[in-house]
Amino acid sequence: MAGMNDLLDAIDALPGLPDTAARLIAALHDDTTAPQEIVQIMRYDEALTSLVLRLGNSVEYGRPGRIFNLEESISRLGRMRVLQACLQMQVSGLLDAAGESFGLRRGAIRRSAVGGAVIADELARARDDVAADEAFLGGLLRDIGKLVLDYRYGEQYIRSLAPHLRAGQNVMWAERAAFGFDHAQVGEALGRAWHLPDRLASAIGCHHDPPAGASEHDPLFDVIHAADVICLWAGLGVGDDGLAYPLSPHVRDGLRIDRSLAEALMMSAWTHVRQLDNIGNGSETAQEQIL
Amino acid sequence: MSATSDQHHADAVPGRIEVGVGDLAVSADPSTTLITYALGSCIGVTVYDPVVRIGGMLHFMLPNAKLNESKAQSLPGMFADTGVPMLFRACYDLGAVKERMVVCAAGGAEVLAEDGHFKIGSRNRTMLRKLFWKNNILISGEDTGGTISRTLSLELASGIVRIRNNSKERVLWPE
Repeated sequence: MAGMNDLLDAIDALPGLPDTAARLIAALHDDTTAPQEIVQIMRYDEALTSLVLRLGNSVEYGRPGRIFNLEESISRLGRMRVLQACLQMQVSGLLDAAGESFGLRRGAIRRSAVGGAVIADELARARDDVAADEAFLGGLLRDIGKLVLDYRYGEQYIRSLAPHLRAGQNVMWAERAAFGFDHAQVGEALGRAWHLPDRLASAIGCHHDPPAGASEHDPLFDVIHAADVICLWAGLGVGDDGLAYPLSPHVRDGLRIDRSLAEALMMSAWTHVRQLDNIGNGSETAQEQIL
Repeated sequence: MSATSDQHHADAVPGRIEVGVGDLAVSADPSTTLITYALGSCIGVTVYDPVVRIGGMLHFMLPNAKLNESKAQSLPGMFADTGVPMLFRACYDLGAVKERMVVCAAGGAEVLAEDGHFKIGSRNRTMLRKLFWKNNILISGEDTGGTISRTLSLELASGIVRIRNNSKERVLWPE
C-alpha cells in the first residue's frame, strides 16, 4: 500500500503553480504586504495585469469617472478577488488535462471546477457568514487532488479501487482502504504545498464529508461540499466513481437546499460552463465571463 | 442541429458526434456514431430507424422545462419535456418513421444514500416514461438507476446501442 508520503513525493514532482501565482498567493495572504509589492509581482504577468485592470475598471465596481491604474484596481477589487482572478487564470490550464485517475475525459475537471465555483459563489451570496470570493475559490479548487493522482497513478487509480468498493459505501472509503488516503486529503496536501489560505486547504480536504460538530463546523466547508454534490447531479465531473457521494443532511438542512434550488443551481452551473465553452477555453474574454 | 459537446473540442474523432449535456444530435449518415459521456442523473436517449438508418441522441439534465422557461427556449435539450419531442421531430424531418423507431435510454442514476429529498435521477426517469407512455412509444433497451456513471453510444450503420461503465462495455440493443 502506498502512503501519504508517497503522495507528497508526487506533489513535489508536479509542476508547481506558475511563479507569479505562487508569489501572489503568499503576498495576498499576508495582510501586511503593501499594495505596491503586489503590483511589483503582478506587473510582469501581462495577461494577469490586463485582467485585473479590466476588472478594476468594470462597472461591477462602480461606474468609473476615470481610468484606474493597477494599484487602484487591486484596491477596488480586494485581495480575495485578485487572488480569485489569479488562480482562475493560472490553474485552469492545469485542470484542463486532469481527471484520468477517475476516468474523466480531458476538460471534465476544468468544467466541474467552473461549475462548482459558480454554485459555491451563489450559495455564499445567500448567506452572510461565507465570503463569495472565497467560496468561488474553494469550488474551483476542490478537486485539485486529482492532479496528483493523475500524475502518480493515471488510469490505474480507479481500477485499483475495484476490489475495495462496497455497495452503499462511498468511494472515499475504498480509496482509504486501497491507498491509505483519499483524493480530498491529497487535494488538501497540494493546497498546503501551494500555500493556499489554511481555511481553503481545509475546505478542499473535507469537501466530501464536512464536519457537523460545533467545534469543527465551518459554513465555507458546507458550501463547497454542496457545490460539489450539485455539480455531480448536473453531470459535471461524473467519472468512474459515479454519483457515490451523498449530500450531508446537515449541509442540506443548514443551507436550506431543496430540489428547486438544486435544479436552479444546476442550470446556473451549466449556463456558465457553456458560456466558457462558446467563447473558447483559455481566452481572456472567457475568464472575464465567469469572474 | 446542435451537436456541441462538453468535451468534443478536446479530442474529436472523425465520424463521431459527441452529444453534451443539454444537447441533441441527429444524423442520416451511416458512418456516424453518436456518443455521450458521463451520464449521471442525466438521461441519454437514442432513437433509430433501422430501415433508413437515421438516428439521434439527446442528453437531458432535468425533467421539466417549467423550471426555467427562458432557458428552455435557448436550450430545449436541457429538459425532457422539450428535448424528447425535439429529438423525434428532428429524426422525422430526416425521414425516420415513428412506428419503426428503436428507442433506448440510459442514465438517471441517483446519489448514494439519497433519502428522497431530491430524486433528481428518478424524476428524470419518471418524466421520460410518462412522455413515452403518452405517445405510445416502447423502450427497447434501458439501463437506468443505480449510482454509476455511464457512456452511451449509437452506431448508425448497425443501430447498435452500447453502454460503457468503468471500462466495461455491453450492448444494450439489439438484445
